[in-house]
Amino acid sequence: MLDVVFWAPVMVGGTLAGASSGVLGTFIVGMRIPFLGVCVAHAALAGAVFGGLAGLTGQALLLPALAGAILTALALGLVNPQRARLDDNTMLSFLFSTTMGLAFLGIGLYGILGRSDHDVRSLLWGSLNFCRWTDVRLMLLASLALAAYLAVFFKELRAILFSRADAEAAGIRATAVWTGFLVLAAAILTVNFQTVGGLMIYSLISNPAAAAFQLGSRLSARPAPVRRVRRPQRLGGLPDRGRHRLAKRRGDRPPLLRPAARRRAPPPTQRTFKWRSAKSRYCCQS
Amino acid sequence: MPATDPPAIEWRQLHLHVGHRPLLELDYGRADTGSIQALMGRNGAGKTSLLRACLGLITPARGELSVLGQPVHALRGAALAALRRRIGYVPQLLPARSELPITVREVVAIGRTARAGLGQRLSRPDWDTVDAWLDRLGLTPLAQRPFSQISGGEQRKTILARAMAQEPELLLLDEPTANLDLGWRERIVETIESLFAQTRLTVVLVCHELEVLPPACRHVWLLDAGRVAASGPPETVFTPERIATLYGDSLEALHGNGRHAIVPRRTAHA
Repeated sequence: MLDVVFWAPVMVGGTLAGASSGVLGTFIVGMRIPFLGVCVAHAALAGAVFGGLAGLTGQALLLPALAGAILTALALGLVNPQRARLDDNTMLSFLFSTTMGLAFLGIGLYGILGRSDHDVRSLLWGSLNFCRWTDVRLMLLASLALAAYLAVFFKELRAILFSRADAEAAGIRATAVWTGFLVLAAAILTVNFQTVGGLMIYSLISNPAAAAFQLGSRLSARPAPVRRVRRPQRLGGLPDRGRHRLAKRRGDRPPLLRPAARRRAPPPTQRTFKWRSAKSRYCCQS
Repeated sequence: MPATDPPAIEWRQLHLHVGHRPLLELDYGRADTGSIQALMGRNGAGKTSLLRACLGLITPARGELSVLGQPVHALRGAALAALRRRIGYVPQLLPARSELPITVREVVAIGRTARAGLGQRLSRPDWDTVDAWLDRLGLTPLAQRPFSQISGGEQRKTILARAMAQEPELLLLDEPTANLDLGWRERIVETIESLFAQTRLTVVLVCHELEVLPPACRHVWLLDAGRVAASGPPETVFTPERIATLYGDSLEALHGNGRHAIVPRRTAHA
């Protein structure tokens, strides 16, 4: 039987983690820094590891984890990529290798000092089943803070996503707004860290946002799954809006009005290239 | 424009470095308010760096640089952002975030973002300004199209509309016709000319081709080897000797109807 008292915080916590990570991911993938999730997760882990070595346990590990994550976000946000002549992703790889190295160095010290690293290791994988209302409250607070930040600074963030350098040149306080967003992202990732885990949070940030960009931006380059969805859709007689629009622009007939055989058949040159070997073609020509 | 107006841009003993390498060493120069001026010179002469220094994106190694009466070399933080709000900038390279679902109208609205204030929503008059510039530059039919799906020339015009929506006092154009075909190049030149005629805005234009200079551009700064090699009207700057020194002796300059061009010299057998 479903134990509502046990599962309610789990369900609410999972929903909040998915929603806040998805919204964060839209901006993070838009800025082409999807590696931020895994980098911040390892920085939080390093913070928690050293917090544990200092004697903290349980929920108290959240504070050093938060400190590690926010320091990483500040380092990434305050460094101007143009002045530093460093790409954001290069900065991320530097920060990631440093924080991961520190985290594993710290975990090694647990063994040397004869302490249990159970609390810290569980952060890597997280545990949604043990999400309680105290965790949910923190996640809700972080999600509301994100929603408020986006409501206030949406137009600045949109300009930064378009081009951070241009936004700076136009007099927008791009560094301040972007650093604020990264700090908030670090806090949300850390709060979700305990329940979702460091690895899962990465996919929660990248995958939904990447799919949203592919499906929502109406671009010519669409992923294979979308094409596979379109094929039965066309066979079923539903109009293919993207192609129809392109065809109209070119002055062609829409593809659905063309005979099926002509649509299916590849052009002759392509057929020759595909089915005949170089040797047989040589023989035919001679 | 009266001669007593303060210059839009003025520099004294300005030294710009790229890393530790000296790039520009300029003694004194000024770009008058309400004029179109062009910065020309070979690749790597420091034209773009000078524009970026005017925006405070590059800090001078030495000297003074004043833009719209403000010592840009000494400004930081909010004061620098306030100065940048008064300058429209069209960069050489267009942003290439093709996956970003942003419309032409939203790109032009970025020009109002800083003007509206940090954390403030764009007001009705802000959107009216955006729509007015879309209309003036003939972009209204494209307003709802994704920025990534319009042509290179239309993208240039959109970025120009964004800069103009900022209602700047100084417009900095960095190779606004780069990678455009002849038709689009001419349309952009006409647009700059008509913008200048309507607004009397100070325009500083970086370009490589004399053909890009609008008829209203009566002052060219020719940069070479980190210094100003010549300055003045295009006819006096691009002398046969200077063209031979800069680009080789197989080229000559043609001037007429306020426009200019550099073409291959006619040979005896032609």
